[in-house]
Amino acid sequence: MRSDRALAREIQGEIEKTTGEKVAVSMSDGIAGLRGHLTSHQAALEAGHLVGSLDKVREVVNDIVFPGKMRFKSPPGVSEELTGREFDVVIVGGGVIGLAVARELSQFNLSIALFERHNDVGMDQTTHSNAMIHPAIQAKHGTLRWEMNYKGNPMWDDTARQLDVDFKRVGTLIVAENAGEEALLPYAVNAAIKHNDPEPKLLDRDDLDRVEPGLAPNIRKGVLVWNTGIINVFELLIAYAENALSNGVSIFLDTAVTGVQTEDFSIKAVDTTRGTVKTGLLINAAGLYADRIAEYAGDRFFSIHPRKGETIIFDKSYQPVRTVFAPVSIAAESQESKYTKGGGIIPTTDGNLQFGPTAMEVCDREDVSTTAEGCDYLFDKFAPVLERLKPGYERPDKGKIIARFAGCRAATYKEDFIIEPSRKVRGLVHVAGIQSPGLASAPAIVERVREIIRGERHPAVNDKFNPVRKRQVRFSELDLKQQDELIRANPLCGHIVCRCENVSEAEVVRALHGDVPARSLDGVKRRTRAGQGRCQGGFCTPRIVEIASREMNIGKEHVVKSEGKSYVLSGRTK
Amino acid sequence: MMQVDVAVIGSGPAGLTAAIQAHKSGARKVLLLEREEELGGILKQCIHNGFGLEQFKQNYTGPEYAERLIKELEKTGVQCFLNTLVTDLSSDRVITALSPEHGALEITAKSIVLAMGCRERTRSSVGIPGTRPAGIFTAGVVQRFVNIDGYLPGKKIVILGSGDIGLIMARRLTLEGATVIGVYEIMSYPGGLKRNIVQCLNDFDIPLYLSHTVTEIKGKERLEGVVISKVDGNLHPVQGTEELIECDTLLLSVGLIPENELSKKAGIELSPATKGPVTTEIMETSVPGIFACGNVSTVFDLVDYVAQTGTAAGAFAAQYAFGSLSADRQSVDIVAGENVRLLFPQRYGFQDDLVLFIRAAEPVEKPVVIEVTPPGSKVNRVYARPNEMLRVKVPKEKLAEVRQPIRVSIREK
Repeated sequence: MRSDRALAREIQGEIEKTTGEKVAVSMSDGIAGLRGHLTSHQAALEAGHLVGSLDKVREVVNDIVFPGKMRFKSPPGVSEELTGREFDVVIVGGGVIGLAVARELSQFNLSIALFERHNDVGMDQTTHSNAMIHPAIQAKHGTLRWEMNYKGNPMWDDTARQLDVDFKRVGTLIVAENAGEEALLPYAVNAAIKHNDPEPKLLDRDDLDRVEPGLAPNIRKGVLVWNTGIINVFELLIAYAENALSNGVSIFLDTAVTGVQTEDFSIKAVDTTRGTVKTGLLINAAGLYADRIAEYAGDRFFSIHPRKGETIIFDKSYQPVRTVFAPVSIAAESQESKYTKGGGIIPTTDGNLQFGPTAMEVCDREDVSTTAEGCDYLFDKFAPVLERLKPGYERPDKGKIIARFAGCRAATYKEDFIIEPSRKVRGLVHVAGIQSPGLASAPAIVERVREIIRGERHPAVNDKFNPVRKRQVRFSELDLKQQDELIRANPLCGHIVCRCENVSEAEVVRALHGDVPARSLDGVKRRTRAGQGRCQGGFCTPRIVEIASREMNIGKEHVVKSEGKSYVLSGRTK
Repeated sequence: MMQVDVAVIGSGPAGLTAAIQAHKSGARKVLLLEREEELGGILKQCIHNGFGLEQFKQNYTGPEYAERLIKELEKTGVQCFLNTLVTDLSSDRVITALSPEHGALEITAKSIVLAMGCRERTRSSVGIPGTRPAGIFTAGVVQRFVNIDGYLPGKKIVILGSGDIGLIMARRLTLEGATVIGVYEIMSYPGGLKRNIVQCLNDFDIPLYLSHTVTEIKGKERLEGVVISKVDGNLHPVQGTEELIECDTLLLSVGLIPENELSKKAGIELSPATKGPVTTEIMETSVPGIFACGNVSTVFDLVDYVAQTGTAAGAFAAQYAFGSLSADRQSVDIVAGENVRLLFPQRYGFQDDLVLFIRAAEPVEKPVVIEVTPPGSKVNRVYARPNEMLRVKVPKEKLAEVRQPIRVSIREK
């Protein structure tokens, strides 16, 4: 392996040249291992990115130590209730990818278990995403990320219909503000033709007015990338989970994987906080912790570096755009920005406008805090765009921001998806490094996983598989007569507990007793929108605490906001 | 479809007084719509006293004050729909409402009184960065948890904002055994009434820090601490003044906003200053036949003021319902002059005496004169503070000849 050693030395030299610091580099089968000490997180990241950008490097394991580096602690055991159970397939991770894989594999005669460390589905990346189905114009052509995005995007019409989830192709509208920018538009069209869109549309003012009314008079031309979609991501998670459950999948929430047992480089069992289950097939869809799972299984060949994205959301009364809206200047910038701050102006299916997300490398995978800088950056970048280009609307107002949130992307140093059987361990399949546009890519990713499993295991078809799931009735969407009939049948339907979003007590009760039940106020909020409106729970919190306490048969002081010790109340008054 | 003379939306102090007065003024079918299971609105959770000093010459608690009004209401023939949430309102006065008992219903009213009150500003509206743990509440939510449900939100409490509910809750939580570490106010002057600063903070040795704000939230599951910073004259946090304060609860008392979702649906003109409907001295909004009173119009300091607007709204809504208000009424604008942040009402319609509620923009700690021109009325006060509304009455006779906008100013004497 002389060439490996030579390459390692070469890389070491590169790092020293760029960062001025020395780290140890090893190379094996295209995997670069970085060790040593650097003075900052930034320096360790730079080294990782530098190595990741080399064509000869397949992936990077970055073990560089720096001050403030987080130590990983495995969660403590809770019980042994699952010990002795056996499944054909174990999926680690209940984000959109793990759930979609579970549903996809349930069309085979396989016993499937999915483990999720949180008390609800999709709590890391998926719920903190911008709920956008990206067109394949941003991911680098030729990468797996691009391919999955390209194939996944058109699959959403069918997927959303089967799962009965709000999905709308609103399009990305790139507008030119002056003659100079108009000259650039054909390049946007070319990019779309080449990598994404079979029929990009170069629009003149008449067409623009139809797509996005109220544009400033100076805007004469634009390009519509029509296949950008927006989706109700909370509903989607529940839909995938419900459909997987109804097709026989077992979903274990609040259950973290703490180890993987192998024998002769084959998967044998999975240790969890609720006991050890036997399995021969492990699908690693663990998102931010996919490298840990790989390590447990003895196949650590990549590192996840969390990249935080912050988003701000506006009140429904501020809806200046219908499309994902970008002037040429911003569209051009987001094409090139890879690690730096980005974001866009993105509507949601519920009618709340978003600015975001930013992109900020962080040490802590659990860091979902928002910052003043992040909010200011987004507001200062996008508010003037809307003010300038949509002059007919009231000025964007910071007072209309109803929520800020952040999530971490599970990026690898190659910045590409890893969807492949392990090269070392039989029965291990990685679905890792899934970051934006992972949601858009999900249907294609799971198809790829399905083909891997089919090729390896030749499973029989599950004749009873039904891909269709129906969503619950949303009271606020019914007409008066239908509402009246429902209230006559169940008076709880007429008791509105969230007045911002018109959510009835019946819907809250249903969320607490669903197939994937809400276990917290946030869980109720994600399922019903109660608390997601402008008062942010000001009115409904005491009511939902009361209903949750009653329906879950626990004291009010045991009702949690999210999970763990996030109790809403500390106890009784004197 | 149900038909009534006067429909009142909301049964807090404004709605109760309006419904009572509408009935007293001769309206026969008066319907009061309340979304909670009891009448009284937010009064029920305000178990402190100080209610009704002016109106009844009594020092009532919130529930006692409500009880007095409810008793009075019960003597009238006003019909009450409880557990009934109004979800829509049209400019031709059709109300859509939902209730477990009455189903989904539509009501047409000859006149309508809006009395939906206000809501609290949240963490997002003041934009505090950081994590999103449990333990962050608006003061009114905690008031409900403590006074209605009998539960404490936490044990070590920081209060951001010195609005009245925050001050009241500082005392209440202290009495319940919690430690209130301090009240932090971003402005250089307090937000709540002087009497509440004295009775709720000073008497309990709870420190009030002016020109301070919370700049970060810490904690993953439950709140673990907040970062406090001093602010400069532009209200920007001063670098280097950050201090981490351990606490498990953060109460926000950072302002109230009139609740006007229904007003918007009916196409009612809203005032950018008050965030409530633009009204005349008889509480009529820009949509004829729809009146507004209490905190839905502008956030008042005292329940007595709220009741005063409720009485006017009820009386004139009744008059409108039986057609004794002429259709082509004139009005002139009332505009904010020197050192006036907001004004209520914003129009004068020549039907009644003009009772102005005025909030100063900047504190003036020396004698001031409030000028209302035309007609050129001058009223003296010993000071003008943004946290204490000024009330000035100009008799109808003095205003009869006015044809141009009325300007209101606060000047140092």
